[in-house]
Amino acid sequence: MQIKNLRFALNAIQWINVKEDPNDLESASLWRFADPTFVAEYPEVLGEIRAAGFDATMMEVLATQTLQNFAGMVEQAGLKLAPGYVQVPLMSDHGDRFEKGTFERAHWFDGVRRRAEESNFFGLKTVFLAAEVNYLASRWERPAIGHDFSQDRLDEMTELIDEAVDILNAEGVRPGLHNHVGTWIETEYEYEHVLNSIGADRLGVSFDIGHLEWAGISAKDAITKWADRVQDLHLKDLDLEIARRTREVGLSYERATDLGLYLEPGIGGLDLVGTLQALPDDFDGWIIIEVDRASMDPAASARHTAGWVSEVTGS
Amino acid sequence: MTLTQEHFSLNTLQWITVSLGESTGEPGSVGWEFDRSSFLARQPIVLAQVREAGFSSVMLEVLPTQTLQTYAQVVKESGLRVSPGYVHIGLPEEFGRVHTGEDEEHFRWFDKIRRRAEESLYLGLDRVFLAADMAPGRPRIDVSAAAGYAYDRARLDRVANIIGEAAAVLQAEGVTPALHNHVGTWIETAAEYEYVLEAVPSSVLAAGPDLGHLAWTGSDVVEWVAAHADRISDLHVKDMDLQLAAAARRTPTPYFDVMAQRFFLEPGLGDVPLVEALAGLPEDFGGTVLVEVDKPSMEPFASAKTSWSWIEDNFPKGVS
Repeated sequence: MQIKNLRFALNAIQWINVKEDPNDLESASLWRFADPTFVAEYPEVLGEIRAAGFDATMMEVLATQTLQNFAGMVEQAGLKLAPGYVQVPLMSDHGDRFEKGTFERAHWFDGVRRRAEESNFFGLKTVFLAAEVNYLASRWERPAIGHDFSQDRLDEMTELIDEAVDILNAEGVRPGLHNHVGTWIETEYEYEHVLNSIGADRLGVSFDIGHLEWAGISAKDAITKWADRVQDLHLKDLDLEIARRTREVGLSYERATDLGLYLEPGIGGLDLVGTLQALPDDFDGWIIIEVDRASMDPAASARHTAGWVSEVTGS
Repeated sequence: MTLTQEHFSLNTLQWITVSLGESTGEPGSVGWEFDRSSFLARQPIVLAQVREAGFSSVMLEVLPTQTLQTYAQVVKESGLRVSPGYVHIGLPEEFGRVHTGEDEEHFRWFDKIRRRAEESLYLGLDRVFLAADMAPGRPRIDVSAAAGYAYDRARLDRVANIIGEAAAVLQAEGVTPALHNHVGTWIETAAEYEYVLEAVPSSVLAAGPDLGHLAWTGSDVVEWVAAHADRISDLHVKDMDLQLAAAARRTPTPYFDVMAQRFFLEPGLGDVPLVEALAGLPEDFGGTVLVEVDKPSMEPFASAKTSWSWIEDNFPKGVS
């Protein structure tokens, strides 16, 4: 695949995953999408994404706003939307395992249905589908090495993903399985187990390049191997030394983040261009860039990222 | 005559409240079948029966286990239009919450209000009924319904405040709320209803009375409509046995005990002067008159047909 033919979008995460006090690593980590005061700031952030040079951002309807309200903001910013993201919680992480047909199980997938609804509202036909990021799970403390593996748990996760896949397909939205460090779908064995359990006609693959590499998996090889199912990608760059230390010394997810694991594309150690070139020639998905923790001011981070896109696409 | 048959719509309560008051206490067994995913399969059948009964319009009711697009498709296939939906808001204190007024929890308290705005706009509606919450476990549900029981002026002020906040949330989305009275809530009596209507400006809050619930509390609904004609954007109508209503006011009776009797009735079968009250609406009334039979006195489809017959008997065909 030629890089110049790819579609890039930016996730607003630079503005979202921040420290309460940017100068104090010990201060609280914030996730501002959920913060009601962020609604008022969102138009400005979308405007900065556009001003940085991006023409698309990831679909992220805040839980504190309506579809129509978000649509108005996106239109005002002059942006297009790239596919959104939805995660499925593991029942046994949260208590009981509910049987199919029960009230609780039907509502377990409310978030999945909501993302389908949002996607359809904005005319998006694909969505990233992942296991839940659970800050209380053991892997949040011991990420990227398949810690605390259990086949039973993976089977439960696979069954839930399978049901989410059904729901999304019924709504006309095609899911792509997404690997994420710190979740129960983290290692090659785990995502391949899910992909092999659910047919290609129902589930594509939407890797996160950075999370593959953080877990010690060659993203280039993964994309090559699953080329016929690759649907969309998340792209991020990493400090490979911190990634290695996470695996070998045992940094927690949050500690690795705070130490500067995440970097703007081109600043870290990943061969992003070589990885994207591994995509098949008929790939028509989105490359959504995420800088999970900016190494500079968010707007500067977005501009730097847009500059990298211009450089690698020759535009 | 101001109203035509085109003004009328139906809430599909007939089909879903049959077992109300017989909850086992398990989630989803509240006798409110909309909440159960099992209703998804029944929804097209119910809407087809609404259409077949004669109605051209049904109340907006996106199921919790359904997307907007799926709902819109089901409605389209039924050949019906949708009329304004319904949303209620409670006092945080009654759910054990303490809000300062500016915190995240308070903002999120209005999530379902925003959701109803979203649903309304998606289906092309710009109005919604807004009521105080009616969750079981309140004195007016469990002790004494329709009698203004446990009135507390300070609490009513807090109710008016939260209604005002919800109205502002809806208006910001381009949806105009109509304040709805409901037996069992803190906006139950005509006096309470009036108090909140006066507390929140008419520019942000219309009136959307339930004539049956007003009559249940002993109000003269003919007078009420005439007095508020200019503020009414839409209405609910229901009929009932007013002798049972009067008896239930004399002797404190829980809401669901009243309902367990042959109390709610199809329009025309009870004593509420609905036709006379509706005659008080302005000539150019453009809202919806929503028929509700909270608990049918006959099989649901027959109940819908009986309701439509009452409309046909009392109101001319519209010019469409």
